[in-house]
Amino acid sequence: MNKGKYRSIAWIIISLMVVIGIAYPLFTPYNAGDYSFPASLHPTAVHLLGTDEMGHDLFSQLLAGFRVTIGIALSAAFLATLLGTVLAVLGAYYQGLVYAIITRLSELFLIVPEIVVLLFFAAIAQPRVYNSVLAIAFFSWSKVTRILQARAALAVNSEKVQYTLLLKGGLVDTLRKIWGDIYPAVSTLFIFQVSKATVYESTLAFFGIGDPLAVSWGRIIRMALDYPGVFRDGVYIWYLLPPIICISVFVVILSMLAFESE
Amino acid sequence: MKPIIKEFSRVVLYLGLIVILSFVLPRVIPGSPLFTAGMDTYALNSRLPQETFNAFRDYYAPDRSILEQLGLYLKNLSRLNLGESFYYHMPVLDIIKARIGWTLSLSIISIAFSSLLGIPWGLNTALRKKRFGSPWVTIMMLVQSIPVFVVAVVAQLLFCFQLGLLPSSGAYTPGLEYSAGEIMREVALHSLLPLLVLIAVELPPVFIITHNVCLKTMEEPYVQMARFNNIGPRLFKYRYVLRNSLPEILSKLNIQFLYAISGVIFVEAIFSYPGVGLLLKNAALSRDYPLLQGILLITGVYGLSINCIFNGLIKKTAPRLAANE
Repeated sequence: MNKGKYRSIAWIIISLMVVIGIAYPLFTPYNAGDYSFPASLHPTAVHLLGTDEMGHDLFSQLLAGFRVTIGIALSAAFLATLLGTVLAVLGAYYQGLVYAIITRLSELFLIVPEIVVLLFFAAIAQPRVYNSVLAIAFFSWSKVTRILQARAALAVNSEKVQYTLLLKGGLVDTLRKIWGDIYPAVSTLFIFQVSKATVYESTLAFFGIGDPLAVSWGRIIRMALDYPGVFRDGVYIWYLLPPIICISVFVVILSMLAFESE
Repeated sequence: MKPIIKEFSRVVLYLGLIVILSFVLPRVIPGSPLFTAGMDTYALNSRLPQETFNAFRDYYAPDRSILEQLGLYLKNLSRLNLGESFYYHMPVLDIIKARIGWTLSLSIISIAFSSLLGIPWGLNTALRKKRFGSPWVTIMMLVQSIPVFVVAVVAQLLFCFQLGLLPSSGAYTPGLEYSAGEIMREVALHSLLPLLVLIAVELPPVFIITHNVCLKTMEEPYVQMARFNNIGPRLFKYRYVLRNSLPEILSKLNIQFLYAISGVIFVEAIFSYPGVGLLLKNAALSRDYPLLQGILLITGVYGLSINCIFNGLIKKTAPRLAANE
């Protein structure tokens, strides 16, 4: 009954978070890298979430985290969805051996635990933001491919595509024809991948791997947990909980949206 | 006889792919010390003790051609030699062997519990179909989308640090001497919270999958017919709804429980539980390539065995499906 209303509220929250990520320098009180403030302050009107043990303003760091985390999640999800879609369509178009190889590969990435591949990749590559994006995209494509393959095969076998093929239509023509059929699934998978990629990015930061200069939500959580006094005097309320809440809200809303349109 | 051969060749194929993946991955990732043939071993050499560096060079032989490297890798694998860890200065296989027991027990116990709870619950909720759907489905979907490490960190915060009910890390308290009974109690106490977190993470997908598949089965004409024929509720529930949903439930759980391996690794890393997860965390932090490679290989094989068990179960519950293949 109220589903449309919930949906638009959910989209407004997500868009707001993305806008904060883009425009946070406009309203951030301090530079996120500035550690000239007194250390371990409790929240005041000047420092909304207090400061950390090094003297960073935590509210500014949290705002900067919007850009890092959401940026990495969006780019990784885009890459993964693109690669996964292309492979699924390739498999459906060429069929036979190509299809078999793509299926086997995507299943291989399902069998090997994702976190092992993720940490493996990130630990070996240089700790840069783009390597985190590559590491996440590297094993995420398989989920997109697995789900899209059946749909793409169905679409390729439909009459209009068979007609295109009959007229010697190439791969690009086929893709253009079936795009309308697979687009809803692709967009749902993209939303789902964004939420997954957010979790993976936080995971990398949480394990202390990934760009040490990029202050993401996961990194703030890691720093909070490394700070010995975090569970005394309720420090965790303004240090640990805000990034946890940001991640949870972003991820939960996105996956509800993906489930909804499924 | 034939399906067994088919399954066997499938296992061999994936085993081969896992080995190739573990061989290729450290060589194609940008920035890896094995990335280029004329690799920059100098940086590694200056960081590692001479002995470890020699072991590394003997094992990977980066100066040889890629095919020779592959041959060497396969030869070493056939002798169960997974190289020597940079960090622990011990054979990788020995390190993993010492840890894998903790991981297997956490993983198997949590899978068993969440299946035993989730499948009957999902089935019963589906049978008591309400007009607007059960609120549990929405709640479970919410729980399902919360990241594992958030659940683990919050649970640790609440039960260990705030309430002080349970130990926060390790599998037992080190440095104490125990009798056999005490050590059982210690281990049980330490594994309680990791297990609860894992069940909290694995239960929602089991519940949702069972619920949705059973709802779908109940729409089938033969199940509707059984309802009109006043088949007894027990028979209806188990023989008609559950029995016919089982193959699909199992094939979806198969994927879920493959993901659950990642969950176990996470939870271990957070609770400093001495399994493969903690090992993986340390290996990643200390850039311990041979150990990372070994963990990739072993967890891959573990994933494959879970996959095989489920395939076997699916074939048992759906002989028709198996015959069609």
